Amino acid sequence: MIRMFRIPLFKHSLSRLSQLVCILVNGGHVDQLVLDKFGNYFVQTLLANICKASFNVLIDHLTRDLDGFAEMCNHQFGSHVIQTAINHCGGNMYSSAKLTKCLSETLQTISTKFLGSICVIHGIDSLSPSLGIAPSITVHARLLSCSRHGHTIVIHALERFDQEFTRLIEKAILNELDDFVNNDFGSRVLFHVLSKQTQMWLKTNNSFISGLVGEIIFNAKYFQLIEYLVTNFRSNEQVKNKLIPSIVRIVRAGVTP
Amino acid sequence: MWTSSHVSDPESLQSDRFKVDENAGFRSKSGEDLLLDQAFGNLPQFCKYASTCHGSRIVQEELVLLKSEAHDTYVSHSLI
Repeated sequence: MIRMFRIPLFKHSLSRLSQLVCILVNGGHVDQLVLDKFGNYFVQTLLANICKASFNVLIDHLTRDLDGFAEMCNHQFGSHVIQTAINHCGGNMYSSAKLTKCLSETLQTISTKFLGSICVIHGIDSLSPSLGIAPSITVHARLLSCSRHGHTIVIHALERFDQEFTRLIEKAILNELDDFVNNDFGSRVLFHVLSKQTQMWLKTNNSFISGLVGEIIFNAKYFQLIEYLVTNFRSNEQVKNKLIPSIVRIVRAGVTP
Repeated sequence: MWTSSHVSDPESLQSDRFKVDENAGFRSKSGEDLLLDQAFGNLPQFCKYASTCHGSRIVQEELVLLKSEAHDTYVSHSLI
């Protein structure tokens, strides 16, 4: 016969979870679990259910070594643990700052890999840009933009971060326009910035468009960019008074300058 | 199957000392926390168990249960 009782349970349950975290960390078993096919789910559940202090202990362990952190971010199972850690540190400034620091410092290593780039995108969504991730992306804007997986980070950040971030990316594009135009992924970032300009047409001062016109070289690689500018920004002073007359001169003369 | 150092016979986990209840999770009849007992008793074996398909699921259920118990103070528990 089965009878239902309501029994007082252990008030120390939560502290026992904290003890479990401590013995796992001190025993050196966390890394092995994080990189394991099934163990990573256990660590993720642990991250989702432990108190703030234990969470910080676990984050301290995961972020103790930049190379190890980068390896986890790029690992097929470890990446999921890092993503869960990032998603669960809302309101926890200590862990947020730790994770942001590690993501920023390993950005070059992880952002060009598929799983690493997913971790950074989670960081953009969940961590405060003021903690340092936005400046790191702008510093490595060309590297990220010209990589298969990195350019998705820049495009995502452009959607999430403020106008100041967009200005910095525009500056990076103008500094190395050739690299952006000549790269399939870089040109996607360039056209994404331009499409943002189109949407903000009346609000912006169009200094980016003017800067682009000043940098344009008349060769085949730039054809798509020239076409986009003439089509979408024909009322811009630089496009109207400099770019279009140049095109007319080229067409009349039959030779590029 | 994972066995702790103090449970020599794996079968005893199923029958005698412990019972499996899909609502209550994997725990001893006395309400003792099986998961943590085994973790503290033999950590390497516990980690090995948590790295298996079945074991990972079981220990996750235990973790969630422990957390909810800590918040609720009381929990319904079936005893024979």
